Amino acid sequence: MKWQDVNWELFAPLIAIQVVLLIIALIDLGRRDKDAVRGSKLLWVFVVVLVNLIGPVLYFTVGRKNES
Amino acid sequence: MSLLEVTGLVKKFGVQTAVDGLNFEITPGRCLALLGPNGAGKTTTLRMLSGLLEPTSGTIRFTGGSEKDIRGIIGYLPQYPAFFNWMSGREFLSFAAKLAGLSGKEAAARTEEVLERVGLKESAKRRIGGYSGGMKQRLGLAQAVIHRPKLLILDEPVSALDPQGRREVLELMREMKRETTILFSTHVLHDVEEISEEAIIMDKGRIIVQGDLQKLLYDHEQPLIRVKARNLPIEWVRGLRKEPFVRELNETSDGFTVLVTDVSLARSSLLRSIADLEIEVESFEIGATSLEDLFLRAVSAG
Amino acid sequence: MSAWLLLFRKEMLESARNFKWIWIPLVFLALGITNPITTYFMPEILQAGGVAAEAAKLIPTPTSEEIIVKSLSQYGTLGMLVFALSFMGIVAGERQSGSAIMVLVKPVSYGHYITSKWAAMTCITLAAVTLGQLGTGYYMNVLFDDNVYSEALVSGLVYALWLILLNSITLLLSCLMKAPAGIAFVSVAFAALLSLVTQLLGDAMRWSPSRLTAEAGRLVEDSGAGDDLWLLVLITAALIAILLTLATAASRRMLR
Repeated sequence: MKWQDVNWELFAPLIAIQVVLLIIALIDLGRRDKDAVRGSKLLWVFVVVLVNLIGPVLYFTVGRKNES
Repeated sequence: MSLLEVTGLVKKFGVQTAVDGLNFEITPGRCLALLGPNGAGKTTTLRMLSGLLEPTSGTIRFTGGSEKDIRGIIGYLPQYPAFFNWMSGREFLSFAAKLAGLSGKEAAARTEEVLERVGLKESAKRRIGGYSGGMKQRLGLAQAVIHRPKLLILDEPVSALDPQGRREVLELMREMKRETTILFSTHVLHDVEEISEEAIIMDKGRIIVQGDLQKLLYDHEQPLIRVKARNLPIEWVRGLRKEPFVRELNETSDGFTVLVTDVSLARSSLLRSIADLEIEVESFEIGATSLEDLFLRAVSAG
Repeated sequence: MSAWLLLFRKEMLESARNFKWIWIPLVFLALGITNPITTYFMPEILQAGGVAAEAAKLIPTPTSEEIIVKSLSQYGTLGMLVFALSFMGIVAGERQSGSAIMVLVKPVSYGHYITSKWAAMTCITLAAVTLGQLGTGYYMNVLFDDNVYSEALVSGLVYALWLILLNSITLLLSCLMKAPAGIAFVSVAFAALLSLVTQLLGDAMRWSPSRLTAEAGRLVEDSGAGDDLWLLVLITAALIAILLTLATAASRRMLR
């Protein structure tokens, strides 16, 4: 099997997951007050967009302040 | 017949005693103010009454009902009410109503009623996270009365508000007074005079005075004379302490104040001396002590 | 509606509104499908990395069982961290902000307050692990023509029990401690320590719940339960019950 034969459909779900995570992270970031985000919002936009998978996860776990 | 009886209530946090042996009663239908400076133990007392804190010793007895859980007949507004910011105002009230045991239907109806009452109908759909301080305070009041409690406990309900918000909340409290018994804490005497019928003044965990507000005012209303003048002979002023009509003498930077027993006697005696000694009087004022003087004196003495 | 159900629904709604219900299962799904894919393409990946074709062929292809076990171990490390970090504030946050008072001043049982939170955490955990294992199963089917759905799901369930135990510890710590980072740290450190001690002491720690992870793997590899599986399940369930009781007691004292 060669690289050209790779069935890219196999990867589609992984890519979709990353896109969904990225989008909801950005939605959450957009909705949130400055005070409810740890660190600068702009920084998180970069982290979320540029770091695959881990970026949004980092944002969701440590980027948000617990708001109740 | 009282709604609630508190006997020997004590709360200790480690070695520190926050509340040190309170005894009082709450009469149904009356509004009772708990007045005291910060750190007097007001919040701790209210939290014990609302079932959030276990007293170290002493009893709180509700004579009104045989409720197993006193939280069911109490509505409580903390000093800094915090909500779930992701809920809307309506969602939160409905949640609070159901927590208090109202059925789904009742809860929905009561939510609308209370929203209307506190003026949050228009903002009911918005996230609480976007509410202003005054709106949150009104939402806090709303959740406290949602289940028609027999006793409404409010911790510093107006302290953190601007004059406008203060007005609104006091007005709401006045309305709620018609339906329920209110116990609220404050460190501002003016709030007490404005709305309550009874008052307890506490400091350092103890009650200093308590009773019917009118009676307290009357009992602690003492005639006084305030004199402002330039060339006051110090010996004469100090000598006044020996006069039979003087109860208490306080020197101020520009004169002195005397609490007196007999106003007319004091007035003629003082005026005569002023004329004899040729004192340059700027003002000579006859008045009475207020509850505020009582509050301040009580607190500094305690 | 009963008070417990009301509190539970509030927790579920909260997790939906702050996207926990979406992102945590998605992360597990990603973990679950990454393994079969990387295994499948391993020879190509090695070749691209400069390893000769003959040499690459010598590296044995892992069995389906090994792939599932690898997925599980990733839930153990990354997944555990994700849960500790996302649940650390579940009580501490409400206490810090003061919203816990608004709930507890109503005639609500403290036990309901704690267990409703625990149930919501458990639902998310089960959903996440199940989704991840379904992902693994699906890819095993497509790539290796191997039907391992039931093995994947059963072992996932056993593994989830270990995660649920760790969540219960996080929940208890959340009632006791104030700093969220400290809560997450202690939870993770506890899990790591227990696993380490269990490995070092061997037989003396036969009862240790951290062995659930190994048992989950055995379920797949030997296609049969190990002797200790039921004992471990029972012990873990008992520990969870104890942790919830302690958390309830702690929550009574947490409002100064």
